[in-house]
Amino acid sequence: MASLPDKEKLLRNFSRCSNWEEKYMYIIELGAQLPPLAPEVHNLDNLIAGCQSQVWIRLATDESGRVVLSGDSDAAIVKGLVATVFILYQGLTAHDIVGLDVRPFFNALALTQHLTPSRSQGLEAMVRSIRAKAAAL
Amino acid sequence: MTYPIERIHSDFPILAQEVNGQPLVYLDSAASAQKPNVVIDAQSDFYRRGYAAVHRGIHTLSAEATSRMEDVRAQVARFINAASVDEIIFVKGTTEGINLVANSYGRHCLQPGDNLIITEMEHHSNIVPWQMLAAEKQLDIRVIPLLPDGTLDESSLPGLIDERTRLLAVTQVSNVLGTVNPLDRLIATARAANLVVLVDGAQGIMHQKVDVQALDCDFYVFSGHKIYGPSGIGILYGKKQLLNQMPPWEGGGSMIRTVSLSEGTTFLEPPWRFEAGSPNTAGMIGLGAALSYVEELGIDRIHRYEQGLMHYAQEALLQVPDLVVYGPADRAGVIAFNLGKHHAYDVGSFLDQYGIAIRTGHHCAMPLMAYYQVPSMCRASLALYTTREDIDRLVAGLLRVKQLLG
Repeated sequence: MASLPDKEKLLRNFSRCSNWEEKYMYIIELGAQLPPLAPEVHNLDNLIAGCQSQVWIRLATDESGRVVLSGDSDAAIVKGLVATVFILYQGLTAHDIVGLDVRPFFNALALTQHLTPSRSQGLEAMVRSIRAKAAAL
Repeated sequence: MTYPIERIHSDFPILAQEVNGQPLVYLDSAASAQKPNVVIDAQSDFYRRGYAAVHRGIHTLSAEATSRMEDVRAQVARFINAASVDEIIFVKGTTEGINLVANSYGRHCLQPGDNLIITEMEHHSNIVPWQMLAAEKQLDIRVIPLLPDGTLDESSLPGLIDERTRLLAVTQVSNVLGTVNPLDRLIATARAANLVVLVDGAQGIMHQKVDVQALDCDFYVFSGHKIYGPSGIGILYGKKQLLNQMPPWEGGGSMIRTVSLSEGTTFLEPPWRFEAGSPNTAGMIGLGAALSYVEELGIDRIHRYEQGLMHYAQEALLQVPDLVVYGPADRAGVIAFNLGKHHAYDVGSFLDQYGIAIRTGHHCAMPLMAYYQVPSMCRASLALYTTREDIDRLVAGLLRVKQLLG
């Protein structure tokens, strides 16, 4: 997570993208910065299955009570979206995560097309899953 | 006569719009086809001037609506050359048609220990209803395997059949690979062993002439929305002598002869026995208009045009480095591919931004994905309105994605 930019930097870099192709390439780049997920974490418990791509997300807490997120996807853009969501949530407690309104952040990124609630796909499904996992921590 | 592609393209109003700032290239017709003006108008005219409950009233509108619904039934019977109009059952779509057969014929006529045969290339809707039936009735499901070229290993069929085999359920055309299955030979083998044969025509009906009597299948199922008709309407064809043996699946109004709380209920004969409740009348009217549209163009002419376009597309896609195309060269309607190691989601997301709509994912055919050991594929599909420019745009889009993603 250390290599991922923080929220403000992400928004700044995003606003510098001159077209959507650059935006997509930047999202893919963010995904590539996620630390590799150990094979045993790619399990059914951590899977958010969809008919388009697969996402694995795991939540844990560190000694200070902050949530540590790890995750992966088989699709590069989706993996980048995982990273984007992690940036939004990094450093927060489980309580903060459950209460956070994510819409302003994603609206600012203009990623609304990926927010469509189609069959447990996309950001919406990730956010729902992370909230549920955080509530259970 | 040349194929009037420009006029045809302009018959489909949705194709004139821009998506993501680019003229739309719609290559997802195998998932759901777009509708010509005549279909849209037929439905809205029906709602404006002709709508009423059917098979229930003596008033003029109801009688006329009933007559139009039954005209479409007769039109469908002619379209697929059924022996009788009574062999045509209106359903929601292919999925409901197969579920009807599994729940009525399957539950009534199959016994524990019996088995049935499907194939490795089936859509989930021709797998899951049989699995549910098999679990309930303790049946065994056998599978005709795929060969690496995307065709069925038809030589395996005789070995799968034994004295307890009752049914073969097979798709006419693979929804992923476009493989056109050798139904004549498969059905001849099944017939020799007295199997009942169901053909999933969801990906076949719009690409070539279908003659259910020549095929000699017992059931043939298709969806209206894939042949340029409305969604929510489809057809189950069943041979009369089989339908006559089959009990109703859903109960309700319109499918009964008499209902008594003390004496029980008697049912109407097929096809009405299988059409409980108020039907999707506007959908039927739209389906009738869609079939008329296809008939006016001529299904054989559409077939020739699409085959020519498919050859063009297969040639054109060779320009894209690292493109892996799945399935046989001889195919109908769809081309499935992956761009190198890139996930179909990524390729499809980029193409979408170029205004190009393709299908990505497992295509409701997870066993087939498992066979090819990929989580997903891209699929471009051709329809009667697809142009060479559409194919050129796809190729240009893929070349750009390749350039960006490497």
